[in-house]
Amino acid sequence: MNRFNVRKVAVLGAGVMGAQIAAHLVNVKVPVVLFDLPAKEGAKNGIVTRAIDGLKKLKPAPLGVVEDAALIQAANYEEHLALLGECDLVIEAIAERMDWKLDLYKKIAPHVPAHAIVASNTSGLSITKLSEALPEEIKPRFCGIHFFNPPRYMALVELIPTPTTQAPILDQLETFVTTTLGKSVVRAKDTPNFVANRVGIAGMLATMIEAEKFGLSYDVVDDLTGKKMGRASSGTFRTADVVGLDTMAHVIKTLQDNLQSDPFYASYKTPAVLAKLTLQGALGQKSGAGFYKKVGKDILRLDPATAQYVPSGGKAEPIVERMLKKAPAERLKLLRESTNPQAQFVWAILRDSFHYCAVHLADIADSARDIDFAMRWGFGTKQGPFELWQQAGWTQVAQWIQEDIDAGKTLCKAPLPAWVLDGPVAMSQGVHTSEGSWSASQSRYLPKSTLSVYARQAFPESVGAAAEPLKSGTEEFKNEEVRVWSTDGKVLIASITAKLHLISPTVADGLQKALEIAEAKYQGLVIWSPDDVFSAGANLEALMPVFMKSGAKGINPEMKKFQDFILRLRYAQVPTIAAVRGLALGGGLELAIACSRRVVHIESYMGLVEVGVGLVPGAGGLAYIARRAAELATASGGSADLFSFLKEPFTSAATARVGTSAIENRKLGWLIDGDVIVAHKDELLHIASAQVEAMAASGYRAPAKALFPVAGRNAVATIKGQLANLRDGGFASAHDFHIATLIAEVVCGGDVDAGSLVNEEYLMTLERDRFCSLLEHPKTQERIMGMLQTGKPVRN
Amino acid sequence: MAQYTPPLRDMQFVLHELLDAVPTLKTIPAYADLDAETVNAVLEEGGKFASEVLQPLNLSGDQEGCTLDKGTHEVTTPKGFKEAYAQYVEGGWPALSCDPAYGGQGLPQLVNQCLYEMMNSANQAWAMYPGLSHGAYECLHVHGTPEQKQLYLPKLSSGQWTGTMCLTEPHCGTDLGMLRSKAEPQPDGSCKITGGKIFISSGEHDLAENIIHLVLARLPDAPHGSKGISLFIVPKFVPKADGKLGARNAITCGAIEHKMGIHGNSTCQMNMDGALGWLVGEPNKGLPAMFVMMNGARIGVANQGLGLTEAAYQNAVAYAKDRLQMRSLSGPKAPDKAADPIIVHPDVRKMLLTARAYAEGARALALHTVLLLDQELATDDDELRKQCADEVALLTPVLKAFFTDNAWLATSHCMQVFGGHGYIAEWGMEQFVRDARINMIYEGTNTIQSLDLLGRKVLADNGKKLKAFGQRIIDFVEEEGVHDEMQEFVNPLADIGDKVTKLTTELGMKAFQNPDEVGGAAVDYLRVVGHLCFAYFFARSAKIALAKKDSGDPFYTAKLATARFYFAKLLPETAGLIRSARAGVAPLMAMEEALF
Repeated sequence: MNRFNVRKVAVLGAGVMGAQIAAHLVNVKVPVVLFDLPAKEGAKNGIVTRAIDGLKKLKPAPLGVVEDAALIQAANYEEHLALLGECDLVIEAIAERMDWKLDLYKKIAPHVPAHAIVASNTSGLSITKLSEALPEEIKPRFCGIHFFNPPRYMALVELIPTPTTQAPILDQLETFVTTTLGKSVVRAKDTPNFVANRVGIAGMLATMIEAEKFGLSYDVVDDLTGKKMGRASSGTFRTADVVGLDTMAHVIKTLQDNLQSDPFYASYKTPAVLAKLTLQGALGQKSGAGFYKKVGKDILRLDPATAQYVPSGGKAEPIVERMLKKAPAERLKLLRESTNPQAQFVWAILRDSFHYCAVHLADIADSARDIDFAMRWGFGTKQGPFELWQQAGWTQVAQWIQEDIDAGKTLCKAPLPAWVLDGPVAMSQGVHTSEGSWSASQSRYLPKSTLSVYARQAFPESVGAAAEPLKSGTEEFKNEEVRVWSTDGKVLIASITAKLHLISPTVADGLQKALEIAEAKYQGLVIWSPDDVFSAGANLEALMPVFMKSGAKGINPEMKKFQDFILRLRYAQVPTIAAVRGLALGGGLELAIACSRRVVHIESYMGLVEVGVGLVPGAGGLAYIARRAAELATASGGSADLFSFLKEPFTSAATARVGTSAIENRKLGWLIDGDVIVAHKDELLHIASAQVEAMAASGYRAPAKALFPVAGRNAVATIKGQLANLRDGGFASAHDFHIATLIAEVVCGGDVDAGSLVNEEYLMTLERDRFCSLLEHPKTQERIMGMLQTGKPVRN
Repeated sequence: MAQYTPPLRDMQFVLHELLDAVPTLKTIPAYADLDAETVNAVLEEGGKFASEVLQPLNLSGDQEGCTLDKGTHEVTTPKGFKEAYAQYVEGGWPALSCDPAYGGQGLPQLVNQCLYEMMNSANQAWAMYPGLSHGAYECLHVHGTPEQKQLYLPKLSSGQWTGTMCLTEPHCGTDLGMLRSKAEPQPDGSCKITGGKIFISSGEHDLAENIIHLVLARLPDAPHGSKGISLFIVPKFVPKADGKLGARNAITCGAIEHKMGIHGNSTCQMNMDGALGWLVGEPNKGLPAMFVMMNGARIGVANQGLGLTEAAYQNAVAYAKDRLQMRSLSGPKAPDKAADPIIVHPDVRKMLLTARAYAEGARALALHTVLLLDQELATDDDELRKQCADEVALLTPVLKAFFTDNAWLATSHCMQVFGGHGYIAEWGMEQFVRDARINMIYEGTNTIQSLDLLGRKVLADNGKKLKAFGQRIIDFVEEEGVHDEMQEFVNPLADIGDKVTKLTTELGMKAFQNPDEVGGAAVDYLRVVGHLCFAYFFARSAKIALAKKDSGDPFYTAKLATARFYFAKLLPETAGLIRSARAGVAPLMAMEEALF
């Protein structure tokens, strides 16, 4: 396959989706030009620039750092169509009007390069119908590209070919969307609402119908259909409020307009309450009221019987909550057999979704895998409907569904398709097998995609049985909290398995062992775990018994041991890579910093947050700030003020600031030049391993141990003065002031003259002493206990 | 006259249906041959001994008390005690749970626990003579030299000799670090011990030919405080190498105490004037060695509380069914009689059910704990041993304080059922109350138990032991909480579990700031934890009873009703206790000493 270079992307339409897609392209370093109509008044780019400004305030943040909004090139269709000539990909994301879209395509056609892909981010229109009206030259390079809102955070992108789309175009796009954008692709058929929204919205409608049938209020339904069922925490009605009830109504209308012959057609009826709310202008979150309404601090829910908003807070009953924790087979059996209305409701919506997916599998998706992935990635569910059905026992559940169909309990009387109860699926007891996933349209198990981009995913997400990373490869060492292993005999992997990957003495021992093994017989070491936490910090609980027994005195040697390991890691004989995804906080960040390089998933959270538990970073985090400031000062010509390089990282540590993207973490100084940002979580290990091999091949040597200058006591005094103002102004508590002062003392090198030369060991002694002195402080103890017991920081 | 029927059915329920004790123990080689039939048969015989031999001596023993001959320093026990003890020895009962290597029968402690519950119900004062002997046996079994074991253990397990523990001195009870008795080493390896001990239960008596005292004393140059205390064997008659009795040792009873209850047991002042003693274990490690005995003794005292609760309950029920007085508020229930039996009245039932629930809850929790103890002592699996030991350590203070506090309440309620007659000695009800009172005091007062629980067992390891026990409850809730008919039990159980977790957290945080907070909350805290345990076992019992509710066996109907009563009427007490515990220590410390 020829390389598909994406030098620049054009996004047409600066609405909610278009602007956010542009923002995400900037996040992943893809140059982007964002188009919209010329403004009728003022600057011609007004519509686009306002949209770009809007990105800075939007939550959750579409941009890694708000400053990057400036990287989005603003354009309008009147003046700038020529810019399309630089673009290899055009994503159209304007309003859902066939006529507008077609007008636009005609307008841009002359300017789009002959090789460029044109893709529409429609969610409701038929891609094929759009394509039919397209200029001939665009047709072969045209397809649907359906992002989910918010595009930075939702993994799913549906790619929808038309009959005239050239196959290589989709492969190129899938590769780009996967590696570069970090999204997960499902190839969808061109049926109304495609896969995720088709199944998801039908599911929400079914939920609303069953909720009414069982007389459950919105808050109870949301509690049941949220985390407790392994779905997105906003449940059903709250999700509708967030999406916008007008948008919901629109998507529902697509179903109504296009699916008259669907056996489930009756269930696509717009729920009366939804229609009424939309009519009243109660469109959900954006208009302040929908199924819920926020009044002051209280969230009220609509009582449809009285049309009044009443206090919410209804929850799942404990019995149902417990049923939902059981393994699938027992769970479904208990729910189905229970006399509890909530349990019956949950069974009903699961049954409805199984019924729906079974009936529609042949029309809407190539295989059951696509439906399951679409629901995972597009609706944030832990597993898709077919996965759950299969785990619960295929034939048994199928029989239950059939019984309910016969008893008239289901949404429609459509029988289960023959493939459910006969043939290979019944034989294998499921739609997912080692051969692949069931394709109802092709009557065979369809293997996974062989596109080369997936070779970059060592442990891709899987709907069937798949290799478990923590049971794979050759195990070199294992203790209770660390597994050390390798898949290729070249790169050694250390996976922390403790809860939240908290660093305890056991973890430190395991990592030390990993390093020894790597130095003895591997090219290098990657610290990587299959889940979305690198490490949430030190395991304070593990230190409690020592502390209870011998106080801070007992902790000091433990700290020293860990600091020694941190230095050992920094000066290791082989390259070491921290493969970071999700949280790298406190001790976790210090661990990452000590590695020779960091390979970081874009959605990573980094910060020295020890102040939250009343402590100072004690494993080299502050020593790093001091050293890094000295390095930057030297690099900037030597004469620059050391203090100016200390100020921001000091503030980050003193205020427990957490960078919420890899891009921001680079800005905060937690990532440095040479560190690698990765868009797709499942490529992290591949890229980290490649780094080890490249570094080893380049003759890796550890950094030279050198003395470096510190800012000294005058800088401490300056910082202290500023801190005192904050404290006296009521912005920081006395204890925060105390901790911040101690942090300042370490990053400035303590009570020494400005420019004094120190080494890391010296600074780590300062860290350790202050860490231990704080441990004996009652306010710190209160913070630690509070954190251990409630998981929330105590403000004191 | 009081009466007593051994609660064999409920014991069998707890052992075999609730705890699955025999199969659990059978996995350990030492108990591979254990079978339920043997256990049941032993308990049936033990029950006969308790109800037919010991129970008839309870009231008379209380009224007669012990007498001391000041000239000979000999103590005479009440009439019949000696003969009863001879029967006890002849029946081989002292050896029940002793090591076969020393003539024991090698049954688990679990069986002994049941036997002692019945003996305590029948006659607590008498049961304390063999009870302390068994404690001395256990202590020597763990810490004695091979020679000491060979010399003393066979006689203790046969019951030919009895034992005591001599800790308390006039100026030191709870704070043993202050004790003064001195031990002077002799060239032959023995020591001469001089000092005075008080409150020595079974310190002198006429039941057995020899009494083996385990005495705490200080060696010369021993460190101050509790780290300078050593443990010694001081026999009444120094045995010869062949086990025959030798010379009378200089340890004598100077006085016996006049006390509120347990009159049939001799509570002695012991004087040692150069008495010959032999070190047990290492010098200055006497206190930890003694704790082997103390922990067992605490479970033993808890068992006394259980025994009295059961006995008082049985008598109150008989009276309440028999005594005709007044009519039921909702109309006559026995119209053919002059009045209704008082059991028709709600509050009489409440008193009866309270005692019944305390007894059944205690029996389940005690046997659960002793089953863990048996596993701890006999297993080869280090991890299991540690788990069991941790849980036993956690639960021991709960058993001791919660059961004995409950017994005081229950015996008082049961006395109340008798109205004025309860206050009259011949009915035996006031004796239960008096006997029950000491159980809250000795072997570490109940306040000491609560400090041990909250300070040492819970907070010192950051709640690890408590969490492990809590995990049992969580697992049960998750497992059984999906059934409609279990909701009434599982939901309040889950709720009290959450509340204990939160309360522990809060107290832990407060204790960090001010260690006095532990003292301000510990007693309330222990009672809340006690209820958590009871709620767990009643919920488990209810599960079994529900499964058997169609069996036609009224035992399960009653079990279910008792469990429902417990959840509805007793568990809610925790709300007030939690509120009081959370109120902190400040209100206790606010008033200046002079104002008291």
